[in-house]
Amino acid sequence: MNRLPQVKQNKIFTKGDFLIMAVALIVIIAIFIFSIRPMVTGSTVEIYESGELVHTINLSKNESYFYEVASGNNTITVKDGVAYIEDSTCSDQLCVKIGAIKDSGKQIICLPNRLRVVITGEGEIDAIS
Amino acid sequence: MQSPNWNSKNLTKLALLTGLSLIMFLVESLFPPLLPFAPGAKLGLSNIFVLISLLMFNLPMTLIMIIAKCSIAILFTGNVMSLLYSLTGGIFSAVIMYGTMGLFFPKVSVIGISLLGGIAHNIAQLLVVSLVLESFHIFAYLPVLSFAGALAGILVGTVVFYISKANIPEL
Repeated sequence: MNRLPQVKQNKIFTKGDFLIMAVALIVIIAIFIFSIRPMVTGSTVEIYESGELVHTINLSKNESYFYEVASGNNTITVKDGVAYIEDSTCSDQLCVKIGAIKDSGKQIICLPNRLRVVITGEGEIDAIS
Repeated sequence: MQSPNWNSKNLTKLALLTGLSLIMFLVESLFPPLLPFAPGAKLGLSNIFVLISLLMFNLPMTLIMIIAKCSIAILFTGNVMSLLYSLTGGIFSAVIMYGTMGLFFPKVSVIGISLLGGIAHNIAQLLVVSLVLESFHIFAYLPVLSFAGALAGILVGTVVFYISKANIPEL
């Protein structure tokens, strides 16, 4: 049942591997091209709790929102045309580390607190400066 | 496929592999994030020993190993919620790798098997995350995460190939 000796005798890279790699690469690139959209600065920041919209902030404003659920809380800050999570009580802090977003469709997720911050709409280009 | 040999010799080997994969898990948690835009993405070096277990034994024994590994890993991370993601990812990728191995093994090497396992791991986790957030919008990360999972899988497969070359007795 032990297949390790067979691995040893096998080549490191076979035609089958090449086929799998090629198919995987083609599928990934196809999905990527299909889902690609031009980068446009967004206009609205939407804050979701478990898929439910709880708050919206205009991206051109300077505003902070205190998000609180049973598992902890996050501070979502919109400042100078970008949105970011300033503070979080979650253990991994991934939502804070990921930094600021401004383009339409970009999102920040804090999984422990079931929070999703997403940018929507199309803003004016001069709204940032 | 033959039924597993649940003797104490094989169970001891399985326990050793579980311990080794937990060591790799700890070592890897010391690395800084590899992708700045996806701070959660990692190489999954502990899966080296999951793949070795799949090659040496069979699916049920490997699933026991994955459950043990993920349960003990939350003692290190202190994050019970992560059990949900690591278990689904681990089990789904093990099933995919076992299926690929049974169907194509000598024609597809460990690298191809591990590549599919890496992609499967990320797809399963994306699915769990989208169920938790009740939103399928995070599937926008599918291409990037699949590509990262494929690269990590190739690395893991290469390591397993060289471990098999190392002539470790009793392996």
